[in-house]
Amino acid sequence: MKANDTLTPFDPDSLDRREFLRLGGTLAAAGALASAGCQPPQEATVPFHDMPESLVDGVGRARFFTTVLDGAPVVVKTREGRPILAAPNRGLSSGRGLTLRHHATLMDLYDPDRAKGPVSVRRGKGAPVASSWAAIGTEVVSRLQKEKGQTVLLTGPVTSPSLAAAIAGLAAAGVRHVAYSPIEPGAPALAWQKATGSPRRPRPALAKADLIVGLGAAFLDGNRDGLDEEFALRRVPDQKDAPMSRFVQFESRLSLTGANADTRIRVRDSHLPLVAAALAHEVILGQKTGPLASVGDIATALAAFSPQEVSKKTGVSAEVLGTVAKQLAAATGKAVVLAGGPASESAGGPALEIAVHLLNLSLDAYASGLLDLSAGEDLTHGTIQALGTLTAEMLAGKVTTLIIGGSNPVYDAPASLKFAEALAKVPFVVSLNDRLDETSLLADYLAPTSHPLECWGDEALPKGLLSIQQPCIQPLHDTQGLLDVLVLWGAAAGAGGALEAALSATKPAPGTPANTPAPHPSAAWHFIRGQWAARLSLTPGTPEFDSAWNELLRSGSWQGPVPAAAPVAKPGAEALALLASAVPAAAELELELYPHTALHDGKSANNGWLQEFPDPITRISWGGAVSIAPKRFDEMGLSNGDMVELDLGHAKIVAPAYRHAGMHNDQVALPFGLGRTACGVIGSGIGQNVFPLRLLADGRALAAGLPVKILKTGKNEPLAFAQGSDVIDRDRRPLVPATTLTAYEKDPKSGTEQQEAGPSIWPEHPYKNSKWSMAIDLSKCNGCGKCVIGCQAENNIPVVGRRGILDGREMSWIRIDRYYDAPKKDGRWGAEVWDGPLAVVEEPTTLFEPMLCQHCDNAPCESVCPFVATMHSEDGLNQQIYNRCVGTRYCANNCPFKVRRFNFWEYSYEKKSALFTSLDSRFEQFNQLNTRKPMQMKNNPEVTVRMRGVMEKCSFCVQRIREARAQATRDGKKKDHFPDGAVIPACMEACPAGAITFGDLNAPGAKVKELSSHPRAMRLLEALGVKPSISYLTKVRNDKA
Amino acid sequence: MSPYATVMDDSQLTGQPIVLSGKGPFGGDVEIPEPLVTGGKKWSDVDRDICLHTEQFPTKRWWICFAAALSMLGVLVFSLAYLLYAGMGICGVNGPVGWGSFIINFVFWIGIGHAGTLISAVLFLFRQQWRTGINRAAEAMTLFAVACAGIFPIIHLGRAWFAYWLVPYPNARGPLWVNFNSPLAWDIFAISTYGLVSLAFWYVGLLPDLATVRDRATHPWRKKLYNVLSFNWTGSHRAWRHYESAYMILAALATPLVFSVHTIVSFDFATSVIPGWHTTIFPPYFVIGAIFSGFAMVITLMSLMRGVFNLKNYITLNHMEAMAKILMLTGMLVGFAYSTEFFMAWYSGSEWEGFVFKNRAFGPYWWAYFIMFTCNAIVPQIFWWKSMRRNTVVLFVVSILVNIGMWFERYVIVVTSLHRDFLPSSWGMYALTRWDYAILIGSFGLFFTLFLLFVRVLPVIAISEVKGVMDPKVARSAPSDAGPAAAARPQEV
Repeated sequence: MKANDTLTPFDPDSLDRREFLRLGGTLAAAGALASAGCQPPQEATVPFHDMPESLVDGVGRARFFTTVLDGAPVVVKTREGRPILAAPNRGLSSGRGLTLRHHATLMDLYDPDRAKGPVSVRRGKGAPVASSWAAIGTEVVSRLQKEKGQTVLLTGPVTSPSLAAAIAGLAAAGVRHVAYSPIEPGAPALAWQKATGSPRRPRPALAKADLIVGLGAAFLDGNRDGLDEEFALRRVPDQKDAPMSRFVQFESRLSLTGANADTRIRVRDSHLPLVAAALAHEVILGQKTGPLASVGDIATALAAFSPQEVSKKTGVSAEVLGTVAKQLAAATGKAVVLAGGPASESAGGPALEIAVHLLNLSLDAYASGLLDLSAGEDLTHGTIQALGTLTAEMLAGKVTTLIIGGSNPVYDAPASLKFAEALAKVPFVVSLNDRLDETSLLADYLAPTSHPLECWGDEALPKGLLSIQQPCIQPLHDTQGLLDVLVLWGAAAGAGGALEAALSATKPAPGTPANTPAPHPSAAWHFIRGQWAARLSLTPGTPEFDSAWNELLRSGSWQGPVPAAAPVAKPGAEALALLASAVPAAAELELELYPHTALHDGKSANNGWLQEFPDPITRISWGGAVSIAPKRFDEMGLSNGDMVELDLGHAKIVAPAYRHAGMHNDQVALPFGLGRTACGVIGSGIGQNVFPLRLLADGRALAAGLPVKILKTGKNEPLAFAQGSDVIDRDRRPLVPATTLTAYEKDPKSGTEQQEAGPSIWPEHPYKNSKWSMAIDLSKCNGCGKCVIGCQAENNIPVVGRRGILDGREMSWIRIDRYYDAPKKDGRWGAEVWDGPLAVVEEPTTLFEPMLCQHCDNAPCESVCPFVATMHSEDGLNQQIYNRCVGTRYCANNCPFKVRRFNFWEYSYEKKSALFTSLDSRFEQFNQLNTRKPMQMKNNPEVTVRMRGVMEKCSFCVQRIREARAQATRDGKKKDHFPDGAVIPACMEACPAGAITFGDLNAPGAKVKELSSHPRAMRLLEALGVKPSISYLTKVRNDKA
Repeated sequence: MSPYATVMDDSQLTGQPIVLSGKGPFGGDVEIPEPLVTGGKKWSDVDRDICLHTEQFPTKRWWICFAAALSMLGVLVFSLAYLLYAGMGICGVNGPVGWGSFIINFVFWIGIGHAGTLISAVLFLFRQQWRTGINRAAEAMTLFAVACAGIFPIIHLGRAWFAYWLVPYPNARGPLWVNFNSPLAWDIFAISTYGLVSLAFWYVGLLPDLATVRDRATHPWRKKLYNVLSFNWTGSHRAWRHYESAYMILAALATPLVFSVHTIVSFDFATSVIPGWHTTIFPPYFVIGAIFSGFAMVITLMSLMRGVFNLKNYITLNHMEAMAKILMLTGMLVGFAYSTEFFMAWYSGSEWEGFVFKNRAFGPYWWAYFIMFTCNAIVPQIFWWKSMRRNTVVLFVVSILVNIGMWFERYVIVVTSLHRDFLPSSWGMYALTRWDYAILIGSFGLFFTLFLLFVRVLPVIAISEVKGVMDPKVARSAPSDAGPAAAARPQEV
């Protein structure tokens, strides 16, 4: 690995004594080496497991690596060779954004339950025994040579050009490739294939849209496509150049996307295709909009879907359909219709997608650039069809060797495929997964692959952007990158070509002198460089190539040719025929399976941060639940956590019930990604695995619209909620500023009304220099919770586990409160409003409010601490001094915002007394969740790891503030004020929507100053006189049709 | 005519004054109170009756009680060791409810500790002579209750081993000073002052009695020990004169403490911003509640002492009735405070206040509020009937119920205010864990262990003061086995 600091521009003014000595030393060493062998020195990044006390790495400066992680460009911050934070690479217009899983990737990297080295699993017969790469490699290679054509490589979706090239090279060695993705957009793929001849789904340009209509759309639900960032750009009511967009969502289960809609209409999944067709009918035939209005066969295809007809079948009022269609037609060229959420995976999904396609065509969405085909994403990287075919071959004994890399079908294939049974028929199975997961347990060998932060790779991003995945740390265990393994085995098996070249480049050329530095040991490195050399038409080893390569590593990306967007033709008869699948639901109740917001498909199920992350809507952590509509829930006499049995006919499952606000009455839902049995001690046994429940039909795995019956079992398992009451009655408790666009235009202060403070006898703080402050724009915030994980990573926040959440001891410094706004009522709501009456939760208006320490000027926590452990800094921070804190918890009691977190247990090291630890199983749990090696390596050395018995809370990332001060000192700059951007706290860094603005209120021209004095700004609980430093800007809902 | 002149048996007491018809100076009636010591006791009987328990080998009944108390104390010691090892996680406190059973127990025990000083000091200054029968035990109860209470603020800390940082003294930690804005810092002064003054007051009162024990002692070491404990009390006039003025001064000093301690404890809550805590009624409300609970505990203990140590002649039914009256009065005051809180919550028009009180009475903790209100405001109403005031079983049961009610009062204040405060998102629930229960039970173990040791080694009734309220005409004569007193003589247990 190359050192990155050789790339930082050389600034002679900043050369201090240390720097001089270091540079001098490096030059001397380089000179010595150069004179010996004329080869650049090989540098390795080796982390310290135990940091020598005397060692000071520079001035505690971090090193940053640009890399790409699971399809999204990230900047990885490392300290002493350890990655400690993954943040978005905002410099790239990549069309990708980070998901919660990206932010939490450190917990995957340092997961103690990853395989430590190759093992012989022996198909789960007996305990696994240690093996070696050499032994496994020899066996695989000998089989590859013998059994050409009967060897299959099963991977997850392959989006890396180099990996694809290596796999193509492997074909020469007789290896077939099958890719499978557990959560695949099957319906869009089919529809797009039929409609346009290419399975590329266009990317919506939400920043250009005045009107967005979603039909079960899920663009805010934890995807990596970065649409949340674009969506937020138009959600503020007072931007001159970007008037507020309007978002109408039709959906069944209240999703994060739906919660952000201006208008939300409940439609069960299997009725969505009808609704979409009705909208198309009204827009195209009713309003005569767009080029399709005069096309005869479209009129025929849509004839059956008049709003009146659809209204009769679905219960959605024809008036609503007509209004939305009218608004769409009126916004032609500025409107876009989106589907593609979990609801599309019903039997009628392709019809839904085709109808949406027709709508978008009619609304000129392609022509106006609202749907960008060039930034489209190929939806066929991994399909269930391919897995189905493979399984059939395996059952027929046609596969003799199966190499599995990055795929776990024993866990996530539909039950009807019987993958485990088929696997038993394959004579030789090697798993290249990273741990002894469900599939690896049934293999002969597990040859564990590295985490993406440990190995080389690359990634094709939308719009021709290519990105390099460079390692930020040496592999922690005896693992190798997937690309390394494939190159190695392929070349050894005689695949030849680039594979062979890459492998031979890792060995010293024959005849080189003995003292020559060894070539780079990674075959993947040589292979990727070979690929890039070809792409850039350069020769590896030349200075031109090296400089291009270094620039690539520095910026993290390279702009390739943008794929041309083929003009979209009107759909042919084959596509229109798909509309026939839009039929009313036959079953009384249907089930939707949807990707878990944090865990998605469950690959990272052993990640404590993700497991503990409370779902933005349900607020459930550590598990999932059957979402049931409030009315049905009440009629069944259920309470949250009551175990219910779902009977799908082909399968049954028992899971806890949850009263899901805004759910369609005829639908229930369960998340994917849970119920792992072999992912490690943290995630195994949490929740229920619903992947096997999917039905195979038409080459798709149906995950929605599944007919289901629901039965009570009489048992109860409490759900780990990270929130108390769901409802807020803003008449009484004006704690969230919210209003409508109409009201806002009349009175910009609307929604911020609250009781005023009385006079205060406390003297005001002078704040002579800086005054740190924050503004949170609730109109931009979509409640995704990336700030929560970003903060957790930055501030060394422990994981408390399911029991900890149930005990009410969550530790997160920032949380997203989710409320359902109680509608205005004649008279007032009684106390029953807090229990979520049907009038509030059936058609909920959702409000999100990020809640963190408000750093009050008159902080009630400061006055009550007898030990002076929390006090006010002169730059406006409410500081918590861990050393002084003795833990009376008085401050937490007296905090009106309840943002202070107490270390009820020891989370930072293992407690070892046999007598006492035997009294409570939680000692073992906390040890598993927090203290096993090498988990500590994720800790940020700038932030104290707290011991038990002390209070902690948001510090406004004081370490970053102090670092900025120190930097100003080093640079000889003034420290009285800091410009915008000098300090960016972790939550602000992680926020894709730009909802959080942090800065120095006293600095001239500070953005936070402007926002804090905005008419929309509201400081909470003014009547208490605590004077928070955080301003919340009103959540404005666009009610203007 | 001297009061207390009559020789009466305990069973003959009526609680009404004795009416002497035609004995008045102008031929009218004279009413004299019933004697405070019954059974025609002589002064020497008093010495023997009271000192006897310190002079003989403990009875089986004592051993049983002591074993039970000691095992409960053992539970406390083990639980505390575990608590120090594991941290507050083993208890029920959590996110919204940062204070739980430990603070409840703290306020509960401090409240119990109020009756002693009230009886000793306030009733002394008001010349309530019936106090003499119960003041010693009540003061001891105070000390032990304060000792129990003192544990809790320390063990409820996350890092209890740094508790001494609360003491403001010049130190090498910066120096690290305490925050005088914090009521918890005030607590340190209030409680330590109260504890020290109570101890001094109690010990000064003990001096003549320790001398009595010394004088009766036969073993030379016992004589020496009690001599040292009594500061070589000579019983001279000079000594008595100094003693009486010291006692008076201490009584005057202790009197404001009765009101200050619980006032300051109430500030722990009243100075916060939490609805349900932030109320100006708290100081008087807490003081009255404390006196109420303290008297209830005194009644509990006196019922036991009357029974177990056969001190019915000294702690008579009239004593019990007097305490029952105080219990009823303070019970009504407490009930009045509960109602006032509700009125103010409504009258203030504040959403937060209104919600908290509605939530207390009708929310998920309605049962705690119900127990509190019933036990404290309703049950003592039974003492409107004189027969109930003089029924020892009723007294005992009511005193226990009041103690339960007062524990729940603190439960209601601490838990229901915290569990649902400003932000509905942060609402939560609280429940005691087995360790909370173990430590609560253990604190009773500590209390009873100390109390049982006290009754073994020290005179449980203020001998010299009791002698002062006996009619010399009756009490001066030599002890005799004959006469009406014989039947009422305590059995040597």
